Amino acid sequence: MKLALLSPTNLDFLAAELNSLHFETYTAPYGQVVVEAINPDSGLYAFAPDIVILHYDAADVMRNKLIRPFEASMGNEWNAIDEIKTTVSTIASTSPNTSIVLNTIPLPATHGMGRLDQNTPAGLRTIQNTHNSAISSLANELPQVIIHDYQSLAESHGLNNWYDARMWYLARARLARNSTSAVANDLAALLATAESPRAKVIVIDLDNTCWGGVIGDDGIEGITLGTDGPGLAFSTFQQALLNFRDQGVLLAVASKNDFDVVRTVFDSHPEMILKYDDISSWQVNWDDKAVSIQRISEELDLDPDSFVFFDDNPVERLRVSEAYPEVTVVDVPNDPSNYVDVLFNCEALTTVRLTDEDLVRPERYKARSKRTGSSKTFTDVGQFLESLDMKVEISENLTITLPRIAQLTQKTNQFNLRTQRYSEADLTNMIANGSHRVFWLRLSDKFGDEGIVAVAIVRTGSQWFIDTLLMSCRILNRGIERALIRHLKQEAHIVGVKILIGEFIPSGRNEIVRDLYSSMDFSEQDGKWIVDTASNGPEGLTELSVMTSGRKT
Amino acid sequence: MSFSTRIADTVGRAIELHPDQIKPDSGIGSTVGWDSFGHLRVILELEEEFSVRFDMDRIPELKSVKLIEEELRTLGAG
Repeated sequence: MKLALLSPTNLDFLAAELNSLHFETYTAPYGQVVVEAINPDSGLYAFAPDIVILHYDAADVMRNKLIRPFEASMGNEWNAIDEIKTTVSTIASTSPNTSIVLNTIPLPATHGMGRLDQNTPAGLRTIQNTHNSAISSLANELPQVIIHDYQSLAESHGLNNWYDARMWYLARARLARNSTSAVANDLAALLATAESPRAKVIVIDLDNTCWGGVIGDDGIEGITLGTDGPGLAFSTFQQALLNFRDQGVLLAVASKNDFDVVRTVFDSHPEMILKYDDISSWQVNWDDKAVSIQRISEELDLDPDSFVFFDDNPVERLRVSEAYPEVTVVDVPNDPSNYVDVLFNCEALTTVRLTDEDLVRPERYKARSKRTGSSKTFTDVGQFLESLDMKVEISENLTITLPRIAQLTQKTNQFNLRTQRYSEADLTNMIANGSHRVFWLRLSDKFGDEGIVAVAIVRTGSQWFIDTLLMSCRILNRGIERALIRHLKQEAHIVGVKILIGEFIPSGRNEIVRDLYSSMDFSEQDGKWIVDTASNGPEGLTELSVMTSGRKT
Repeated sequence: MSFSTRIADTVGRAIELHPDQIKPDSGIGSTVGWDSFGHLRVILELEEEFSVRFDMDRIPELKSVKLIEEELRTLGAG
């Protein structure tokens, strides 16, 4: 991209930085702004730039007023904005396809007004504000004008070290070394935004993304969402999502949940900011999220390259970015208090222009249908799981894990076959009297240690009965439960038990595991599920490194 | 890396020359790319590399690598 730099001051240093970012540049002799614009044979037009950067810093606008604000001005006062307007309109008529970047100005940290500036109606800040308003108006009047918010850039870096006075005295340049590269990088980001289409869809997760907690386990009263405390962070995040919908970016949901449970939250949780109709496409199911992205794309008839994906779970993010590298996958921080800033800083979601079409788009895309989906999977799912480097530890060592196991039996609702609730005391008794054995499973992967995520409790005897089988839904579709069942079969076999029996008791919230035993080769008999402990399987979805420890004999 | 090599690397980076081409008597006017603009690039790059700040009135005086090296020692670098 060819950039021409025009300024009352020396921008050679900025040009060098832009060159190192692979822009081709032309720097007009400094102070020759109007001359270059008016003369059709100037270096500016010979260069035929895609973009003209017309850069006026605060000192170029305020001139000697920064040093001697009270000096009486003589006659018609020179006005930077008039010069800028003339230049812009001349360039626009001579070279209509060239975009022109204008900038806002900060107020330098030191100037002749000192503390008086804010305490007088005619301070330098007034000149600054008037200039910045006039600059913004130019963007509304002329479609080829793009505003660079140089003021915000300088202020966010800190005005104290923004300028380097030596550069002015020795070279008629203004910026400190690091400011120069900051301006170059910010211009590059602005031009990238201006040249590329804005994202059209934000695909959001729900649990621990739009509210705190897991709706399937914590229930509608248990999730964190509200007007104060951590719940406020989630409400504010929902507001931030709606901000993009207000501007024409569609919202779609990809969540591993039961649709009816989610629908209840949207319809009846008093603190929900997002409403059912705000979502243009629903993928609430237990499928691979890459499949959900594909379905959203089909339903909305929009390419995934215009999608932003926001999900608290790094495994889901990795899955989506591997299946769809063109999707912008937001690097979601652990702390929900940072969600809003991260969303607002997402470059794919920024734009420099809003059209009338943008403003009506969400209405045109009202959700057409809910999809609860089948269990279609991508062929490369095994490969993906392998890349997660999962390690599983299965153990009966209960010295410190008992409270966690009791807690899991208390709060797990979805992946829970019989939904038996136990206190620590219950579990201690069951183990002490020898009637039951308690197995827990710990998972770690390349993202870290997930902790104890699955529990099986068996009633021992001549046949083993699976009293409890539960798992955290966060690790669904990773074959973990298969490893646990394999382990139970082996343990039963070792002590001479030939039959393992499972049971599914519907609770209204555990539909997801209705077919679990049949999928793991158990056969149905009188409402229960049985399997021969000497049989092989169930095969895993991928090779898992399983470590067993704390075996009880 | 010796002090002089580090200076040559830094100067080379600023004016886009191989460090081998930077000699003690290299400087403004006598070295390709080392004009008045290049000189300030050199100065700013050295300030970053050695965490020093040159006074304004010294900057035009530091006309060669040898003089720069002396000034850097005066400022406590190297």
